[in-house]
Amino acid sequence: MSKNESSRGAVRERKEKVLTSLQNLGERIYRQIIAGEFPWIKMPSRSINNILYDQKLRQYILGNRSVRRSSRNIRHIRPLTQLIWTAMFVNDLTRQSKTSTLRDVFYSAQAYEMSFTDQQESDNLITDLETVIGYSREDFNVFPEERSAIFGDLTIEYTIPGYEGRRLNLTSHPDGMMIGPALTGAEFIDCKADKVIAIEKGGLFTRFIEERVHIKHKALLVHTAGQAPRATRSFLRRLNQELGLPVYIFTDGDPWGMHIAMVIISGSANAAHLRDLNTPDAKWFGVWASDIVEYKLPSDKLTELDIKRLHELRKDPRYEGKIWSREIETFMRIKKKAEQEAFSRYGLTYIVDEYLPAKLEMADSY
Amino acid sequence: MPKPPSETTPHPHGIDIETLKRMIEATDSKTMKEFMKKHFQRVGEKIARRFLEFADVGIKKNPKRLTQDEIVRLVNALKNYDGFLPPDASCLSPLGKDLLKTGIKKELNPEFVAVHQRKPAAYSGFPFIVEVGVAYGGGILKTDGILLYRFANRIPLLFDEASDISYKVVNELMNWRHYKVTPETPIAVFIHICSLKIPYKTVGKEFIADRPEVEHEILNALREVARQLALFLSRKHHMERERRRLDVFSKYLPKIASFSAKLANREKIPDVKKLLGSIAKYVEE
Repeated sequence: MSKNESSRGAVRERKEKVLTSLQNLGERIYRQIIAGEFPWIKMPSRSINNILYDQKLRQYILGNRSVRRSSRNIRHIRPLTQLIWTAMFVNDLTRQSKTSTLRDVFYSAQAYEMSFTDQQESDNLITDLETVIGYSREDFNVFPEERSAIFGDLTIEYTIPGYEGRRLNLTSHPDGMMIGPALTGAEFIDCKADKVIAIEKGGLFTRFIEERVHIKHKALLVHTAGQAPRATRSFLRRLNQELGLPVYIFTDGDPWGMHIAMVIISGSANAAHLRDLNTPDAKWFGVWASDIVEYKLPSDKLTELDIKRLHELRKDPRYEGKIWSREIETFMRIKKKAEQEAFSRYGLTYIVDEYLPAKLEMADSY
Repeated sequence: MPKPPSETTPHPHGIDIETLKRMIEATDSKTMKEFMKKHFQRVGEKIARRFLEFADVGIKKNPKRLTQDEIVRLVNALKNYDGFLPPDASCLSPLGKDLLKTGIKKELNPEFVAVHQRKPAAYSGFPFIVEVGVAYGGGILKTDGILLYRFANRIPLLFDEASDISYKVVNELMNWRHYKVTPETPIAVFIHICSLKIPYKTVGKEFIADRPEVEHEILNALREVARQLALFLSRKHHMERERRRLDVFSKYLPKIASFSAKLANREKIPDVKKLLGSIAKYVEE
């Protein structure tokens, strides 16, 4: 596993880059003050009309427009101070290898008489900081609350304090291991799997473990718990990039499930200021609208909201691909949707024994 | 105490027909010129001559022999002729700007006072003087409207405020917004009318009638003090805004300095005094 070996240290290396980036921000501001200048920063604008879809990167990116925040401007000085405080705060966090939630950040600020008026304001500041230094908040140890999990034959080594050097095989616990800060910061040591399957729903994730899909298909199973959190998206990307594993995505057969897959593949417009969160080569293999017809799945009627969502997706540049536009049209035609669990109609094991192998094969061919 | 007023003859402007007839009845002048000079204030040789010419009444005419037609012509001319001198106010006893100002300060202890005294004017031959004051802040509490204090010949008028000419001027004719006064601005207005005969509307002597001459004087006096108030208010707002600005900068700049030093791993916190100084300088301007 030479590939795995080369990936070791990737986590530490990234941390170093994040810290340097934060320190540079401090240094820049510091020098501006020394030079008798009102401190200011410049960052790409995140307004809607500066969010563009990049065909080559296959994700949303920010355009050339930028905004300047100067402490000379009375309206900017407070957010600028908050931004620098946030940078200082997460710098300490990251150095001490501690983690924090968005809510923590909100309360910690009050100790410095820097109180944010509401959670929204502090969340925005975190996003600003992401934009300024070009790393996502998980990289500087601010995590949202998550319920996402992973199960499979992958051995990791912790880097967080108190656990440094300890190893764990991710089959150790049959409920799966939570993809939290500790796992996000872990190095990959050894992997026996040859693919990753991301699953939208917890029920099916458990079924796959019970049916030993991780052995039968040599797969790492990831539970996205609905829309995949960013930490999970970047974890999937690492599995894909560092270990070279193909990633397959299995969601409900409706516009929302489709979009969960799309966000893993192409990222979201909200994260246009960030890179390395998406897995462009990941494949969505179901449940497709055409599966509903082909497998005669029990289905529900699409609601008005579903139809409206389909119309939105139709206009979305990320959905220009052949499979995607075909499935959108099929949904529109049959006006039906089906859940992942719908396969239970043919017995509990059908999905693993019949559907999964067939679809994995098909996914490789497109 | 102000000096006591002296006795005087009526001002010619606005004398009505009844009064004129009564004066003619009582006079011992033999010519119209003498009549004008003797019975009206501030009318001398020259003005009497010009006025009679304007009224088309002979200067040698005996007042007792005026025809009805000529009397009517005289009354109209008295109203329309603009060559009369302003009325003689020596018969009046206004408060004077200083006393008015002192009084307002004593009663309300306001943040700002402006007072103004109009030049004497006349209605129906009675000279009158309007004095006004406007006060802002201090002991003046925020109320729904503008606090109005009315005085007539130094006597406060207490009742039926809404029927008074002053009320109309203050609440309807004045465009306060133009003077940076909003409904929330705590201001008080003082209006003193002193005259030989206050134009009360009723025998109760509680409020002053809608006389165009009086209205005009009050409005102009009020505009004068309101201009001064507007100047004060805009200066005050400007200072407040600048002070708030400076507060914001003094709160955040030192924080930026200390946070960035910590972030850059520097021991010494950079000095922001110079930056703050450049803003403070702006405040003084």
